[in-house]
Amino acid sequence: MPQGYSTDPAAATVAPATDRLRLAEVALAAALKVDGLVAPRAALAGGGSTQGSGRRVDGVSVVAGAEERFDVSLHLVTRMVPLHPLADRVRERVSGAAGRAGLGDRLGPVGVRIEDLAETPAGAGMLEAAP
Amino acid sequence: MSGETTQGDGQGAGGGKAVEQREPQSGRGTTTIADSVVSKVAGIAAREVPGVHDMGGGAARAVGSLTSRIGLSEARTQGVGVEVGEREAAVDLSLTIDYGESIPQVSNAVRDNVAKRIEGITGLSVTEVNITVNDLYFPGEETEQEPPPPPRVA
Repeated sequence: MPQGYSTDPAAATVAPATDRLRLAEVALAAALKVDGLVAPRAALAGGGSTQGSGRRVDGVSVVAGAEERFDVSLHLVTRMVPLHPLADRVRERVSGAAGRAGLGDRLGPVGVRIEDLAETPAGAGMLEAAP
Repeated sequence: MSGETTQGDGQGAGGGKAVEQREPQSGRGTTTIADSVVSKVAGIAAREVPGVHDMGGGAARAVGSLTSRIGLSEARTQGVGVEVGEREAAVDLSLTIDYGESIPQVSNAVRDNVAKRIEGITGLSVTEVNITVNDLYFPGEETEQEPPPPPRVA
């Protein structure tokens, strides 16, 4: 057995999350609090994912961008609501949450990609579009 | 917030293209709407209009019914074709209309509702909604469908 190798599960350590992974988790959690959002869409389903430190965050891809910031791209399934105002609210939430998490200076542009619309119940019709 | 719109090259949920709306003023990011989303809005908006019985022609409905049942297609986009440009969208619809309804009136109502919904939800301007009435529905003409099998587990 190589020196330093332990079979004791308690000795196993989880690698600390990088800023990139933390940003993915913070951004997705903040986005999903926006009214009108239904679910993230994972890479396997045509959306995006961020992996690292033994974890995976589905529905958001975070990649290094300019000026030591990370470009965030959220892949989302939404309800039938006006999508551009919804995307603006998502950006505001993500920006605020990143700032509170101490990641405000790492956050770059936040892309919002509407991958699909959730089904509305039969007879419910669509939500009225905002003027 | 008005933005410049450019064509995205990503693959949407339905494997289609997507239109990407940029916001050059803020530089905070882009909003991308998959083409399949525009199709779904058009399909749902068309079905909202009284007199529209179903979407797609007879063969498309039969195949669509089968494929949507096994999860290979989306029933809401059956009979819908969209072409999405930088700021505009054009829609082609294939409809089955209830026998007795005025086809011009139903068609105009579908046109209005589809344009209103797409513009309201996606911000795209709808340049045209082309409608093909493929069939008329007579009450009682549908074949009895077998009831779904009872669940095998409680």
